[in-house]
Amino acid sequence: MAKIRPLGIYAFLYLAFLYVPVLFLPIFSFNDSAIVAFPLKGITTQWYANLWSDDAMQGALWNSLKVAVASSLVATVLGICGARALTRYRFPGKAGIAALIMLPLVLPEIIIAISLLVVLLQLGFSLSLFSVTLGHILMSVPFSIAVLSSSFEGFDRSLEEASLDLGEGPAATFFRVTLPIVAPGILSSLLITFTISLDEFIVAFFLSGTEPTLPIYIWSQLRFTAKLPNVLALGSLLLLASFLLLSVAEVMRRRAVRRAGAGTSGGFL
Amino acid sequence: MNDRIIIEIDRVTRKFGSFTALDEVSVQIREGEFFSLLGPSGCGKTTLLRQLAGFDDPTSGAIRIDGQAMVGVPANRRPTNMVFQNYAIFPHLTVEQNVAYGLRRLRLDGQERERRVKEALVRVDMAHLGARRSNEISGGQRQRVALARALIMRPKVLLLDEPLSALDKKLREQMQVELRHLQRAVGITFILVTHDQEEALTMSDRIAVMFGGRIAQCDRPENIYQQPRSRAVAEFIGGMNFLDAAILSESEDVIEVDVAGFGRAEVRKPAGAYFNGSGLTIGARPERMTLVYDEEAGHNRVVAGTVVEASYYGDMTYYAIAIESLDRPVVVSMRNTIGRRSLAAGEKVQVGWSPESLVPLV
Repeated sequence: MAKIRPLGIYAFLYLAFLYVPVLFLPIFSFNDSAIVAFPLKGITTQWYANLWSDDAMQGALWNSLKVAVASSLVATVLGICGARALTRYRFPGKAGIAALIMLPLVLPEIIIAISLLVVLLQLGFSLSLFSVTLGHILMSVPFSIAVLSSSFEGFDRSLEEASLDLGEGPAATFFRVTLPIVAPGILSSLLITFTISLDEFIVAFFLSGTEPTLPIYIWSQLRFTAKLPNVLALGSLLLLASFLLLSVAEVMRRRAVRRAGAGTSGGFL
Repeated sequence: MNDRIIIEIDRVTRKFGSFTALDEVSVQIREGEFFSLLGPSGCGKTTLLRQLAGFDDPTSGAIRIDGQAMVGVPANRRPTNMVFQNYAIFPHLTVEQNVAYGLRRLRLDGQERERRVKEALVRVDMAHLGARRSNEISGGQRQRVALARALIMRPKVLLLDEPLSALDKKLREQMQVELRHLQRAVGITFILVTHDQEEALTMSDRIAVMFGGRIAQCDRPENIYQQPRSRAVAEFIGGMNFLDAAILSESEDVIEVDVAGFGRAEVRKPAGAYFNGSGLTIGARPERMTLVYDEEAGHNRVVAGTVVEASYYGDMTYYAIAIESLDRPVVVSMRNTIGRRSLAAGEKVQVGWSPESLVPLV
């Protein structure tokens, strides 16, 4: 029998602390009672059924998806440009620029939200899903660059030269060599930035105006005790979706790194 | 090999900012020739190769391949193909797909295409591994794939950028022989960039030795080794003793010199060489001299010395011999044949030499 080591116990407690609270969400979402407390009363899928007919929730979900699709696309395109510049070229002030681009990773979200609010209002924008999308792009770009850098860093320039040498022009080289090799990285960036936008609350709260995104809708529902089980059901679904998306993203990123010919690196997740 | 010129490099200069990577390089390469560019890193050999491939253009000068001007022609429209230093095997494709990569542009029908891929793989002995992915083959096999991928295009010139430097010693020696055989079999002009003098000597028909963006000497391997024109070339290729000498007299093809520590000798003068002043440097390869053992006799010229150090290499032993009136010991190599005992430091010996041992250096 394996010896129980102190570090093993620590790791177990750590994981329990992280995930046990999250596990309550799906458990209570199937509980046949409006009161969130043990003991469980029975199993029901009523709360999930309620979601199905909740128009306000579906409107918020639709808003969130629009924002998430738009911001992940734009952030990934910007991320491709940024990651390529940072991994391929040398230019003056590179370290400083890289630090500034990555700064939103550590900047408190509330600061980003307030400053964006002030700037957008000063510029005369009205608050809408568009302003939320702008905020989410700002927050997503550093993540996109972090993910894409690892697949671009291993990209060997001589592969493109070899393709040219074998008679293919620049466009064919891009589609036959460059894109297939970095595609998993791009997909991974899209999935991660999509997830970030879908979950984001603070920036959306400040910038969304009259069209709530899903997290804001959930927050507003918490005021009504009777609606709480619905929120738990919704939360469980979101949890599942986020988990699936991020898993796919990480698998893609690893594939990108392997394809680019580099060894296994630490990775983003 | 024939005498038709396939590549003309005409006063090619390449500057990167204030750094001159190539300085008025001119050389002509014949069809079917195995030509090596040899030199230390930073000498411009890879820059010159990239100019031939079309990845870079000269600041001034002209390059012609098979009579066609090449400057400004992009890499994908040149009749050259390249084997990259790291092989640049496409990681998302199989061995077969890698080899067939360039054929797409030629619009061959399916049968012809398959036949050429198979032929190329058989030629490099990789036919059984066609379905493997690039991360499932070894370094030596990657090199074969890179060769097949380039040769399938039937280029007029094959460019090889240090293709053996990533392989271990044993495999490198084996690939040197194979590459040479392959070149004879296909009859294509090969241009090899290398910093390994042994590699250049064993494989090439001709070698251009480069230093600081210029070709210092361009000749057949035997001549490069036996008749280096300058101290830099002699130093870069093999071991060489450098001896000071005074010029006593000079005629059309011989110079009479007085070599420090060794005495007078008439040495052959390289064609077209001019010696200024009264002194020059003489080079002497370690294997072009001998140590005279007691039991041997009959050497016309000997000079007395003392063994300072013996370096054992298995088949050879290199002796550093101190000679009176020389401030540095000379190095003499001896093959360890039967019945020849090893000498120890401190032993008195006679160094046997002849005028053919000596090479005047510019």
